[in-house]
Amino acid sequence: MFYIELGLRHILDIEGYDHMLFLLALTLPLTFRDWKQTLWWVTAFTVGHSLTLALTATELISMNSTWVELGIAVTIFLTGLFHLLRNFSVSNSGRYLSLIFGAVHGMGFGSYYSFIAQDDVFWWAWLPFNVGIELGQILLVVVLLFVYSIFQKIGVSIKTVRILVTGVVLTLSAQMILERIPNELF
Amino acid sequence: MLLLILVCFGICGFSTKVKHEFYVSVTDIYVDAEKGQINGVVKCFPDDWERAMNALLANKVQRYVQLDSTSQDSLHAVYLQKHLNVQVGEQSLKFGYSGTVRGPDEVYLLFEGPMELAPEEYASGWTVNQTLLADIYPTQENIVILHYDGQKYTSSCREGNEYEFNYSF
Repeated sequence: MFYIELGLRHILDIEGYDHMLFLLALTLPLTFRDWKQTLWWVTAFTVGHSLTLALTATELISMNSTWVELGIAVTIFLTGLFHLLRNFSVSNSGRYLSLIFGAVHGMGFGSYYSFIAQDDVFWWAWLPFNVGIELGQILLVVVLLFVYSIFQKIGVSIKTVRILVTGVVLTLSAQMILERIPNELF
Repeated sequence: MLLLILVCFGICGFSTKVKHEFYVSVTDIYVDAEKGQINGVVKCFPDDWERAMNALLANKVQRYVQLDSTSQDSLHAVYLQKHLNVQVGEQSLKFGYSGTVRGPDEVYLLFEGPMELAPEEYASGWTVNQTLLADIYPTQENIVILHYDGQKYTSSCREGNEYEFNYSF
């Protein structure tokens, strides 16, 4: 139970809201009517995240954390841009995007996970931790879609809302990219 | 498109310090009925620990890394005593700092103390208060694992529970 809660808090942690921003970008074209697609996209993210989390924590793959942090910011920016360029249309490609970008996010968390999950609990905690992540994402996405549906109900153009949200996503992620560019590039 | 551009410029003043940094430690506390001892180990990141120790030396010229190992140990003992409090029922566990082991990416602080209650009394009424590094990092989370009679319980001390939890096996 502790590790489920930890996974939940990992997603809902406002101190590091890059995860939230990614979900905001990911769900830009979705509505409650697309619940199947929504579930696919969110689950694909968790699968990608879980796999690279395990691979990084067990040191089977290793990447400089500076580049991973930059990669996370880039995935947020690209997700927002992808939906904007496709005029917020829903397609199956979203799940593949989600899987790949989830993998990038998972790498950012491997060292933390290997620190907290000691040898004897490593795999035993891995599943509940990722279940917590999935639950946290679903919760967040439901809230986002609920907010979109309220805007629709009160007659606000959903396209306008999406453009506004895309503006927020692109700007914040662009700032993140600039802040995270490694010093060795200069 | 104009709307998008306006939003982008409008939000540019917003500062984004969102690097997903985590401040965490892991503490294991073992009830060793055979030896009649309580043993424990706190694991934390070396840079976090060094910062906490330097904060203790705020009014001194010397920095933590310049101290000899005896002086460092004294600091560790004081800090651990202040920030880790464990009670079983009404009884406070009296443990003392017993040494430091340094790994490549972590610092292990060891502590131990006598079992002053009968072994079965350690089955219930645990109160763990662990504020280690919380004075440095407000988002610090201290994971604590209690080991008793082959059983294990994991929880954490963090801002959300005022760095304290209760448990009975």
